[in-house]
Amino acid sequence: MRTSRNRLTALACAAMLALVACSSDTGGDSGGGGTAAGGGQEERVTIRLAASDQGPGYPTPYGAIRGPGRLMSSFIFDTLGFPDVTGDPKPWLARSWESTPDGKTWTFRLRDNVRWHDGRPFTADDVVFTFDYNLKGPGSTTGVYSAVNYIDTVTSPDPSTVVITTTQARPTFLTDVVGSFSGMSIMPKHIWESVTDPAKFQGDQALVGTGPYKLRQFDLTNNTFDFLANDDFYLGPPKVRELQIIKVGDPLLALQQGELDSATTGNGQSGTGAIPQSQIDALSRNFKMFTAPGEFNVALFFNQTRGFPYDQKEFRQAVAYALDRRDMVQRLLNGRGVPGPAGALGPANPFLNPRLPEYNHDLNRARSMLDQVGLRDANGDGVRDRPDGSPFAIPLLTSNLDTTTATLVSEQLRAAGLRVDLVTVDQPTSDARDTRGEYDMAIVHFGGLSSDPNGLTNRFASTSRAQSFTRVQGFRNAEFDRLAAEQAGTIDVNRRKELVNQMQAILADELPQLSLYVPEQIAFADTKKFNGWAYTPGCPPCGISLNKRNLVSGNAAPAPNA
Amino acid sequence: MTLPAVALPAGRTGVVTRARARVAGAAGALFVGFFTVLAVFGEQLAPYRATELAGPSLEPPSDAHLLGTNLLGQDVASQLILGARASLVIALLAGVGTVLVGGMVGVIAGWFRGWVDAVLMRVTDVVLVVPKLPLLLLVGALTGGRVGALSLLIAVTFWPVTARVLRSQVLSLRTRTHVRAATGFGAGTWHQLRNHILPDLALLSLAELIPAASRAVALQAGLAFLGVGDPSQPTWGGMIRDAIAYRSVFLIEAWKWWLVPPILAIVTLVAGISLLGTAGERRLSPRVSRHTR
Repeated sequence: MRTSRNRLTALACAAMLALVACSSDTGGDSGGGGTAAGGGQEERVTIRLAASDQGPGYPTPYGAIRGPGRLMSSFIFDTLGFPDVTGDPKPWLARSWESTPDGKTWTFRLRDNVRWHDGRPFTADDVVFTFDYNLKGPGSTTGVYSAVNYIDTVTSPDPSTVVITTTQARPTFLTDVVGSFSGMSIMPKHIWESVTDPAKFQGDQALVGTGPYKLRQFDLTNNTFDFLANDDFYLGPPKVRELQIIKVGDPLLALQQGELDSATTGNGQSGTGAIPQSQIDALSRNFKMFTAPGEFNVALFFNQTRGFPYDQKEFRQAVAYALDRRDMVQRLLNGRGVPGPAGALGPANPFLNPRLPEYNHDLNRARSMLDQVGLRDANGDGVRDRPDGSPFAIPLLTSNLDTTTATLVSEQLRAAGLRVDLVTVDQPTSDARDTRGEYDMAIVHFGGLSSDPNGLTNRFASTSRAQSFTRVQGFRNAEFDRLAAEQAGTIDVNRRKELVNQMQAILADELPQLSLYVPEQIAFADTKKFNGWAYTPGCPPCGISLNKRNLVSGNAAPAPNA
Repeated sequence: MTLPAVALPAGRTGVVTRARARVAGAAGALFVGFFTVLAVFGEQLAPYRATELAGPSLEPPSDAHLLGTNLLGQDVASQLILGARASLVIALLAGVGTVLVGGMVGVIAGWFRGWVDAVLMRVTDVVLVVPKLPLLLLVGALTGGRVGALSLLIAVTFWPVTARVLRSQVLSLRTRTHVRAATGFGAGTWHQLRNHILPDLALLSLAELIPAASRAVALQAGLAFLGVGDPSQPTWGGMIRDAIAYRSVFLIEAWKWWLVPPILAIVTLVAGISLLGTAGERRLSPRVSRHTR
C-alpha cells in the first residue's frame, strides 16, 4: 500500500469525513458523555456523513485503494490491529502481538470468537492465506501491498497464532501490516482462494469480511453507501447501528440543515477559500467544532534539471525569503493554518524536526541573495534579468485549482523583482506535467504530511524510482540518500528520529521544494447524538473522525490496553 | 393591408416610437462609450494593477477600494475597469471577423451560384452543426485563450448564419433591374460587387455585426468563467469564476461587491451594444426601421 498518500486521497477524504480532534474541551467531554450514553438503555444511532466527490472504487481491498474507498472497505474488512485515537496501532483482529529483540520475527495471537459475515469461523489459516495471496499470489500483481515486500514467511503454528518473519528489521513494520490505511485487510480463504483476478472480483461474496459492518447497499455513481451493524461482531454489537454515506451539495450547509451528523470544511483547499468566521460562529452554536493540525499542503517545486537559476540553492532560498507565507495563511485560510515546515514533513508529524530554518518573510535578504546569484535588473525596468542581461521570467505551472495561490506567489515574487508568468492547466494535465518534470517551477498540492517519514525517500532520494507528482526533479544529495537508506532499517525510534531530523535539515537547506502552507483541518459534529467522534493522528486518509473503534464502542476514549 | 394596423398597438404613435428609439440609442451609446473609455484608458483610470495585493482580504467597499477587495485582497474596481478591454476588444474583433468571414462566403456563394454556391453552402451546413462550445473550450485551452486567438476562433465558428443571410440578400439583389441592366452593359463581377452589391449589403452587415459582437462578449465571459483565457489578462468572466470558486461567497456579504459588479458590467455592455445597433439601424435606414417594426 502506498505510504505517501497522494493529493486526491487527501482531498477526497477531507471532503468526505468529519475529522475530529481534540479541541480544547474534548478531553473532559468524551469520557463523561460517552459512558453516560452507554450507561442507561442501549440507544443505538444512525450516523450520516457526506459522500466523497471522488469515486471511492468497489469496496474490496483491491477496488478501493484510495482514502475514501479504503475507509469504506475498512468497515467490512479488518486488519490485525487498528489505531485508537492516540494513533498507535492497538489489537483488533489480533488479541496481542510481540516481536523478537532483533525485530525480525513477529508473533500475532488471534481472537478466537471471530466469524466471517457468512457465518464461517475465522482462523489463522485465513491470515496466512491473505499474506500468501498478497505477497506471492494473485494479490501481488495489484501492487496494493508492495510496501511489505520485505516479509519473508508467514506461518501458523496453531489455529490462533500467526508468525511473520522479515528479511530485515523495519521500523515501519506495524504500520505496514496493521496500519489503518496501509495495513493488510484479512480476507476469507474459503472465498478468495478461487479468485484469480482480485481487482475484478465483485459481488456479495467479495464483500464478506469480519468487520463491524455489513454493506447493505451502495451506489458507485453517487458514491453513496449504507452500512448496517454486524451484531455478531467479536467486540460486541456496534453502538452505531447504521452508517449512511449520502450525497449532499455543500457538506457544511447540509450539516446546518440537519441532513448530516458531521462535516468538514475542506478549509482553503483547491481555491475554495477559508470558511468565514461568521459561518464558524453559526455552526459552533449547534455543533461541536473539532480542529486538527493539517496534513495537506500546497507547495512550490523547483525543477533543478532546468538549470540556472533553479539549480542554485541561493536562488531557491531567496524565493523562500521573498514569499510571505504567513500572509498567504492570512489571506487564503483566514489565519487557520501554518506556513509549511521547510523539511517537508507536516506540523503534526511525530518526526517533525522542530529546529528548521523558518524562512520568515525578508525582502531585503531575498533581494541581496538574488543579486548574488546574478539575477540583477540590467535595463532599469524594475524586473531582474539574467546575468547576460537577457530578460528573465519564471514560467510557473499551476492547476486551475491553485490559481489563487499561484497569483499570490507571483505578486510576492514581483516585489523582489522577479517576473512570473502563470501557466494554468487543468488538474490532470498539471499532475502529469509535474510527474514528468515538465516545468521550471510549479505549484503542487498533496496530502500525507503526517505519514511515516519513509515517504521522504520516495519523494527526495535520487535512488527513488517513484513516479509521482510529489517527486521533486533534479535533486541529488548523497548524504540524504545515505540517511534515507539508514533510517529505513533503524528500529530504535530515537536513533531514527535523529536520522530523519538530519534528512529534514538537508531538505530545508537545499529546498528542492518549499511547502507554502498547511491548512488546519476543521470539522463540526453533532455530539448530542453520538459521542464517538475522534481524530486519529498519523492516520492520513482516515477520515478517522470516524475511527471504527469508536463506532463500536460508542465513545471516543482510547482503547484499553489488551 | 390591415395586418400592420392590427399589429401596432393603439396609442403607439410613430413619434413616441422615434423618441424611444432616440433614448435607447443614446443609452446604448452611453454604455458602450463608457466601457470604451475604460478599455482605452484602463491603466490610467484603475487605482491598482489587476493582480496587485492592494489591501486585506474581502474588504467591503471604502474610499480606498470603491468596490472592496476579493479573497486575495485585490481591488475589485480596478479589475472591473481593466477587464473592460478584453470584452470590448473581443466584441470588435470577433464581431467584425464573423461578418467578414460570413460575408465573404455569402457574397461569393450568392453571386456565382452553381457549384460554387453548392459547395460553400454544404460547408456552411457542416460548420453550422459543429458543437461550438466544446470546440471553443478545446481549442481555447490548447491555444492558451489569448484574445486574438479567441476572436479568430469565434469568427470561424459563428459565421454560417451571417453567410446564409447575406447570400439570400445577394441572390435577391442580383435579380434587381439595375443589376441586370449593368450586366447587360457588360459590367464585370468586380464592378458589380463593388458598385451595386456590397453597398446594399452594408446595412444588413451592421445588423449581423451587432448580435455577433454581443455574443462574443458573452462567450468570452463564459469561456473565462470556465477557465479558458489568458490568466494574465483580467476579465469579467474570470472575476465571476473566482468569486464563485470561493465557496462561502454567498454566506457573507462579499458577493455584493465581488460578484455582482462583473455580472452587471457584462449585462450592461451587451445591452448597450444591442441598443446602439438597433438605433443605428433605424437611423441609417427608415425603410429597414419600418420593415422591422
